[in-house]
Parts: sequence; C-alpha cells; structure tokens
Amino acid sequence: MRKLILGFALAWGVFALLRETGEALVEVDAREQDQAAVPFWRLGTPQVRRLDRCLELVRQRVPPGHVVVFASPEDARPGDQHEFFRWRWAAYLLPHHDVAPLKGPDTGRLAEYLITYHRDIENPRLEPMSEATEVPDCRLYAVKRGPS
Amino acid sequence: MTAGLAVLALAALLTILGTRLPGLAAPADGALQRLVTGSLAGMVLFHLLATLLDLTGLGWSVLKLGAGLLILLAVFVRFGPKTPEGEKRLLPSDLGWGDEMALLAVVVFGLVALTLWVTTPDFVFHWGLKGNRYFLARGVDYTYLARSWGWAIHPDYPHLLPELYAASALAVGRFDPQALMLWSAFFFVLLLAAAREILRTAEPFVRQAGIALLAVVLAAFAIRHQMAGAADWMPALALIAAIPALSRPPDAEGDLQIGVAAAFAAASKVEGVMLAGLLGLAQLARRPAEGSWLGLKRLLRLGLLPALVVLPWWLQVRRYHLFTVLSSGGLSWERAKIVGPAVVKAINVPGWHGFAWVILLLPLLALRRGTRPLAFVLAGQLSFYLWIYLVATFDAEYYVAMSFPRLLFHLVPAMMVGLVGVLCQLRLRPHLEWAR
Repeated sequence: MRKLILGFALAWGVFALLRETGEALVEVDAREQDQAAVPFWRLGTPQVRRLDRCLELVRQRVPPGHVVVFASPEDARPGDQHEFFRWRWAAYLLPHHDVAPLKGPDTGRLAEYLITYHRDIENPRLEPMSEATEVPDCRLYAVKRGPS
Repeated sequence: MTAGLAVLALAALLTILGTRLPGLAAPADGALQRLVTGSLAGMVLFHLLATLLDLTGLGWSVLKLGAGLLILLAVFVRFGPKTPEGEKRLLPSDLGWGDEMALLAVVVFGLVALTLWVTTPDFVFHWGLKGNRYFLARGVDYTYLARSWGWAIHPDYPHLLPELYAASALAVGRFDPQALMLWSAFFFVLLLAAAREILRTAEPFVRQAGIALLAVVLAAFAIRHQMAGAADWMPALALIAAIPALSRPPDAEGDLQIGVAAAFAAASKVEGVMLAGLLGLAQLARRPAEGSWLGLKRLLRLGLLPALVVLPWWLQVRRYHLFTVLSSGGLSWERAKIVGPAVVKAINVPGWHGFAWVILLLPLLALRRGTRPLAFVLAGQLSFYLWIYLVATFDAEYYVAMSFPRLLFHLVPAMMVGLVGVLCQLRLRPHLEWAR
C-alpha cells in the first residue's frame, strides 16, 4: 500500500514537473511577444528593455551616487500598483543611483535629477538634459535647487 | 561562464570551511549530512565575517573576504579534530534511480533558472538589487537602505543572500544575475542531500521514490512559482537540515547542528529569525542523555551562532531605523473569514499541484516521538504565518495570495520527508526510534 501511494504521488509529481517545464519553455520561446502588465514583468522581456533604453540616459549623463527621481504614468485605478512597480524596476536597472519615487516624502528636497517615462512633468525647477526626440516618451532633467 | 564558476567556487570554499568546524559532525552522520551542515556552517561563518567587516568599517574585497575565510579554515584544520578514516566517504554508495531522477530535476530547474524566466520578482525588487548595491558599496549599504523610500526593499531583512550575491559579483568584478541563479540550484541540491540523508535507512524503494518525489515536486513548484533567486530556499533548507538532530536524543553535535541551522535561518529572512527561535526551543526543551540540560556549554553550542547573527542585525536595524512597521490590529472573526478561504486558495495554487495539502497531515508527526520536535517547529512556524495574516491590516486576501504559496515552500519539504519517515517507520539513526 505504501509503495502504491508513493508510486502514485511520484507519477503525479513527474507529470507536474514535465508540464511546468514544458509551459516555461514555451513562454521562454515567446518572451519577445510578452505583453504582461507591469506587476508581472520579467527579466529580458521587451517591456523591461524599453524601460532600460530610457534609463540609459541616466547611465550616460548622471554620475553614479546621485538621487534620480523616476516618474511614470499614474495608476488608472487605485491598487493597480503599476507606477510603483515601474519605479522598482527602474531602481533595479539603475543600481549605481538612488532612484526615488515621484511622491516620496522627501523627494522634493533630495531630488537632483528627474527621469520621466511616458509622462510629462512641468516644473520651473526642471532643466532638460535630453531632447524630446532622443528616446521616445523619455526625458531626463536636472533639478535646480530651490523651494520644492 | 566565469561568474558561474565563481559562484560554484565560493559555494565549494564555504562548504569545505564549514565541514571543518570542530564539533559539528556526529559519529553517526552520513557523508551527505556532513556536507549539508558543513555548507550551512560555512555560509553562516561567511556572513559573520562580512558583518564583522561591516561593523569595523572595512569594505568587502576578494582579498579581505578570501583571507578571512582561509584564516578560519587554517585555524579549524590546525586545532580541530582530525577526520577519522571512516568518515572520508563523499557520497553514499547506494545511489539509485530516485537519486538520478532527483539530479535530473535539479538540472532541469537549473537550466530553466538560467533563462531568468523563472527568476522571482523579489530578485528585482530587493534580493538582487541589494546584492548589486552591496557589491558596488563593498558592504551592506545602510545609507541606501535608510532612505525614506527604502521601505520598498525590506530594509530590515537579514543580509546573507545579498551578501552571497555581492561576494560572487566581487569575485568576477561584475553583477551577473544569470550566474547568481546557481545559488538557488545549490540550495536545492543541499535540500535534497539533507532529505536523502534522512531517508537513508528506508527500504530502497521508499528511499528512491521519496527523494525523487521531493525533487520533482519542488522543481515543479520552483519553475511555476518563479523561485529562482529567492531566499525562500534557505529557511526550507535550514529546517530540513535540522531534522536529523531534532529526531535523535539531544547530543553535543546535534546541539551545534541545530545552532548552525538556526543561525542560517536567522541570517536569511525575517521569518527565519522565528524559525531559529523555534528550532532552539525544540532542542532546548529536551534533556540530553549526557551533560547538563541547561549547562553553559550546551547553551553556547545551541545559541552562540544564532546570537552572533541576530544581535548585529538587530542593532544595525535599530541604529538605522530600518524596521518597517507592520500595520496590525487585533484578531477579528471578520478577518478570519477572509484569511481562511484565502489560505485554502493559496494551498491549492496550481504550482503546488496539490502537494501542499500535505501540511494538513502535520498532526501525524506528533504521533511518534522521533518527529514530535519537528511537528512542534512546523506547527509553530505555520501558526506564526497565520497569526501575521490574521492581525495585519493589509488587504488580507491579496496578502495571503501573494505570499502564502511561497511561505509553504519553507514547510512542505520537511513535512514531506517527516511524513515519509512516519509512514514508513524509519529509523533515522540506530538510537532513534521513529516507530515508538
């Protein structure tokens, strides 16, 4: 009886592993077509590469160690957390910089640079460091010191 | 390629170091048990060295970390006991089809992990990010953790996994996420080695089927639930590595093995600190056959390493105000009505393929003397998770769904192995009687 139970469980487990591996490999093959929403982004997907291309501006023009504020579209619905996760991805992709959220409690005080991604921000303290046409939907600004 | 070799070399060095820790190996321990507890001890010692460099303001470097580890190794080799001839075997000689299947499951998981497709989102959101920051900062980057927006990266979590990532990156001078996935495969191998050791006295079919079953179930879940790069392997490993010592009457080596497992758990995750406490309690509650129950030597063997891990962590977290506040309220029936079904749903997630239901058989472990300490630890840890869900004031359904399938990963391997032990009335050691 014990052998039967173990044998059945093992067969079920092998089936599970084969199925999961097969599905994962199909997904890996289709990685380039991935359309997942922000909370489900994975390493190496086109969404992440697009964001990374935008952040390249920071790598090229902002010295390491500076505070860079990241701004992306606000959530369409409360609880979506897309804006939050885009910010976390930006932080991962910019390990040499301190990537702050736009709405942080002391963001205004600490901000040195601002990178916008699919979002327009107008503020007299912002001094453009990239052209609007350089990377689509992406602008880098220096933040001038002054009242926030 | 080089980065991957660096991970493997570091893992090997830490294993060699840990296996030479005096007093860790019990006479009855098999080669795999020595390998597992040795690896855990090596990683704990590495963590203590990294912490010491941090506290003294000395940045990490290959030279400093390497020299520190080699000095420790030299001290252990010089002053530690000599390994008796009979203990020099590296692998058990009774390898069979189940071991081959288990190895295949590890290889499959490892290869899928290398694609980065099954990398845990938490690698991006904190474990990997911290590893990269610590690599760049040549130490735990408390300034970064203490930023007002640092709450998003769990700044109060223990640092062992990011430290291992950072040290691997230091060795080759660059942060290579793909290579770092090998740490998960390494933890997986250790976990299976620990299970294999526990099952070694089982009849051949049970032993082979048991190890193969554990391997395929964990690999399937790890692939589906994106566990590559996660820290959750570590509490699972700590728990399963502690089973042999928990299952036999307390002895000096067992106390140290529990101390090592507890320290490893505490250095891995916040939940691991709770697990460390439970492991220590489960061992301490039992009177040893020889020596004093609460003697200083016993307390040191059991508690010194966990204390050396927990105290600096706690002090630094306090110093930099890193504790993230868990918004909690009282226990309420209304919340329980949400948490209950959410827990059932989490146990039933597709990635577990039904195997997580094994947790409901936990009371069976309490029926036999040999598995009662394990039952205590599992029940305590499970209760801790459920209690957090019941008192936290977040969206309970979302909170449980996002974390509980992964937290079950800490418990299911030990539960499965314990259950096979009980059902097959295994004798884990000559003096251990599972069947009583």
